[in-house]
Amino acid sequence: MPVLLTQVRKSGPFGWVVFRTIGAVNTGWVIGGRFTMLDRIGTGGTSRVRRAYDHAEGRYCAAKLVRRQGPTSMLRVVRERALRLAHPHVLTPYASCMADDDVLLAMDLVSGGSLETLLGDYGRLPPEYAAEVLDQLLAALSHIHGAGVVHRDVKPANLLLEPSPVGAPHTRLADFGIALGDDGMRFTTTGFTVGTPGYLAPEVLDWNRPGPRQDLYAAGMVGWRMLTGAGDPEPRQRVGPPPAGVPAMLWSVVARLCATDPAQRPGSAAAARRALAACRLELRFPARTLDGEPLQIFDHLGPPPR
Amino acid sequence: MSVTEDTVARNRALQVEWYGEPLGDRVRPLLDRLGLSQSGLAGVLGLSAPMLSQLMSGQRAKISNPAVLHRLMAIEDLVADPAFDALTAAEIKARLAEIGAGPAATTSGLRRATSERIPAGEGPDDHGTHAGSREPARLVQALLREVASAAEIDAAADLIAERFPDLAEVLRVYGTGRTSEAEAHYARTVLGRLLGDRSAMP
Repeated sequence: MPVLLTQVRKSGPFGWVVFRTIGAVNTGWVIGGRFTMLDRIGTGGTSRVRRAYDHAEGRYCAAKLVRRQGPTSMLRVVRERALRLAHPHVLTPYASCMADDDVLLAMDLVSGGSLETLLGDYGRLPPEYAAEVLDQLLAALSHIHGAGVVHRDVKPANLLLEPSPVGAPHTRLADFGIALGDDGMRFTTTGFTVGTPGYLAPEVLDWNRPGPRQDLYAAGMVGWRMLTGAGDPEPRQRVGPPPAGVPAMLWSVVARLCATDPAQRPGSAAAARRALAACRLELRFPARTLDGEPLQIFDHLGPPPR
Repeated sequence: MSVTEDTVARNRALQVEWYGEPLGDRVRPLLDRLGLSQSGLAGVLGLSAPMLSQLMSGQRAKISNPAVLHRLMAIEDLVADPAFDALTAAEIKARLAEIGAGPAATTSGLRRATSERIPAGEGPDDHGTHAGSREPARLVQALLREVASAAEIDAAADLIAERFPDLAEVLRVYGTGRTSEAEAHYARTVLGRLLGDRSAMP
């Protein structure tokens, strides 16, 4: 038996939550006759994302096992969404297949860690660097919002980076696990409100309907972290005065994204990008940290296991 | 991303200047004492494994994130403490977990997570209103909204409204109303009675 899926029932605060753990995997674990499952990637030992070899495409990929919600129609939904969301700064599945009670989602392998990793390695980032990353995030949001999808869990750990020895950032917005579409379909229905506390907009904390502007709030908090070097924001985090060396214009863009009242935020991700462009910040390579050290984005995965 | 021997020598000299000794010499003893792998220690420090490796090998000179340096010193204090040798493996693990700062995890049990981070009455935006009512009010909200949609709660409230108006109000306020209303309701009913000071409540 190549794979053992065990179910562990664990009591959550408001009911039963089912976790699945992979009990035993031997090296020949193949799913769908196409994906050879390899080492775990992503954070923590409980991550359900693995490096896999895609025999159909002849390349390595990231394979995520997601619990199947309903009937097989989910595959069609996954495919349609992936097509609608395809964008250089968005990471969505390029293929999927059924695996017992799970769906395997195959995605590009992005090996430079996340923005969370980068912030851990370097602390606060130079303003022009933060502005570039924020712009890429807003480009991704502009695209998915245009496709009628709200991400709902924008945070540094969900912004993946391609490795770059000169620090050129290429971010991919990942983990649409709790994204909500216009059709109201949720991929995860374990709770009424989902997300990560410090990045949740005040109106969401107050139980209002999810909307694109909650992603703008979260993007603002991502910008706030990059510019301050602070840890995760508190719920309803106050933005405060700009840190030394941060241009006032850039700070005001971030502060507006983080506005408590959604009506005070930029009207769209595209509008926020225009405000960002007006700051006229230029990023040069090789990138350097504020204390003058080379800012490199390492390859965090290393060579695949054999 | 390897660098020349000259650069390594220069970086080590800088590390001696900044940190008292090359970072490899300073960090390696901690691995033995804590029984941690290099990537395990990187996790506690809040650094990536490749970054710690570059710092320890002198391919890079400086720890750019000040929070990492603070954690490194906290770990050194822990290990230098005379009581350290008496700690069990589980206790060491717990102390390291306190020192380390992992990023916030995505949660669907938001109410609980939120109230853990900002205890009632201590939030920066609390304005002193309904202190102590935030957490329980939100837990009741979360419970109701976990089991039924707003429309279902409304329909249920309609069913019982005539005979049990107070109960119907509870369903509506916590099930479909705004959080501020729920907090006010909780403060008015439960806290007001407990404190015997209903006049202070709105």
